[in-house]
Amino acid sequence: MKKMEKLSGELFRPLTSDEQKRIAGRFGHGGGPVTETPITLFETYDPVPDSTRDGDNE
Amino acid sequence: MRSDVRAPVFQLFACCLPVKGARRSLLCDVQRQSFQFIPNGLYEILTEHAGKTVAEIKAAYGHEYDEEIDEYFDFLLQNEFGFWCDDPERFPPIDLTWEAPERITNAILDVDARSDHDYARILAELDDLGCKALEVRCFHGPSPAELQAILEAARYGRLRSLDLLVGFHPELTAEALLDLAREHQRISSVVVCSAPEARRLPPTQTGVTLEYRTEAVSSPSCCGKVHPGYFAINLETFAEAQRHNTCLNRKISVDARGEIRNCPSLPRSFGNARETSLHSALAHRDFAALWSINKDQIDVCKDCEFRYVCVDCRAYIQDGSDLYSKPSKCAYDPYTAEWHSSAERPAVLAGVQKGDPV
Repeated sequence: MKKMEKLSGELFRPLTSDEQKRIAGRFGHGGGPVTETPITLFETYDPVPDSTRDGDNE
Repeated sequence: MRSDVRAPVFQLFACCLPVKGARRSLLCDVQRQSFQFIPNGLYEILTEHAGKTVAEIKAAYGHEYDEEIDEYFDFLLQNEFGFWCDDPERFPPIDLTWEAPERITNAILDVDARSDHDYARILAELDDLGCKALEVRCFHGPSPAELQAILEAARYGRLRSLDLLVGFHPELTAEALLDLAREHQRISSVVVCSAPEARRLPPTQTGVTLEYRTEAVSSPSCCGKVHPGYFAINLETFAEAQRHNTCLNRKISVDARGEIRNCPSLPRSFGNARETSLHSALAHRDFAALWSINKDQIDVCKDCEFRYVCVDCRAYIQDGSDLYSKPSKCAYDPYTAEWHSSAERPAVLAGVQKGDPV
């Protein structure tokens, strides 16, 4: 592996909002519940922040 | 004119924190609550070569990567991760010490159709411990009156945030729930599970979110998933994660039967809330044992670039006999930087041997 990789590589692509959506899934050997995990505690952040707005230019 | 003037050096903003992973690194902006993936080579430049000029950095790599190094600094500047300066010593790193005055910062209260909680007592004890965030999970479909009884117990406390997760009940209309949220302004979010149809309402003026989901959440086993949607990219989590467990630190839980646990999914009970006060449970010498298991100690997680923004799980882990094993509901492999299907791995409950009832 080249030590200094190009930033344009797939590995360094920002996650899309779809990839950050909370997913439904099944856990366990077949019998687990299909669910989205409940909202975890102390969640005062925005899970998908709008990073195009930083307040400086508004 | 001085002849020893140095070229400027690149300085990261104090809120932009690089984290090295096995295959790639992360540059977390805890102020904007976002992150970018970066190559480990750039991580090395930002840490081992901090304070050096570009010419010095290029020379350190024998001018083999001059083009890439220029690209890296363009990227950092364009994404506002830092700035050029002549006096980097004037920009000290951010203090990542985590402290909280509260003995308990967050709690979970589970409720089902057979629960017999003394809500007033539990909420008063939580209040006394300083708890500021509570998640109430009603696995059945509570009526509005039942919810009102729980919320009434929290009316005069010092909770700052109350998240409700409830099963569907025909009377839990959006209107009824929004009325509840208006009356009890500590409510931050309401999620109704097992709903006939999924829908998400826009946040109210006070920021309360209301969502109906078709999935059933019928037990604590629904918790513990690790996914980018649950990452918390903020200074508080990042700092707490340096030395503490991002799920269990300063947490207390009361499960649907009243058992006091670190988390409703963990097998060990520290007494029943009917007979044991939360204070007494907290005073048990083992209660805080899991609080200091941080991501740098956990197998696989310690090599993951997400380790300081990820909410851990110590209940569902890959090896139930090893409290330092990876969360079993995490599908990320930091060695390949790939997410795999989480269905491939069974969830093992910590401390529970095969064959034990869960």
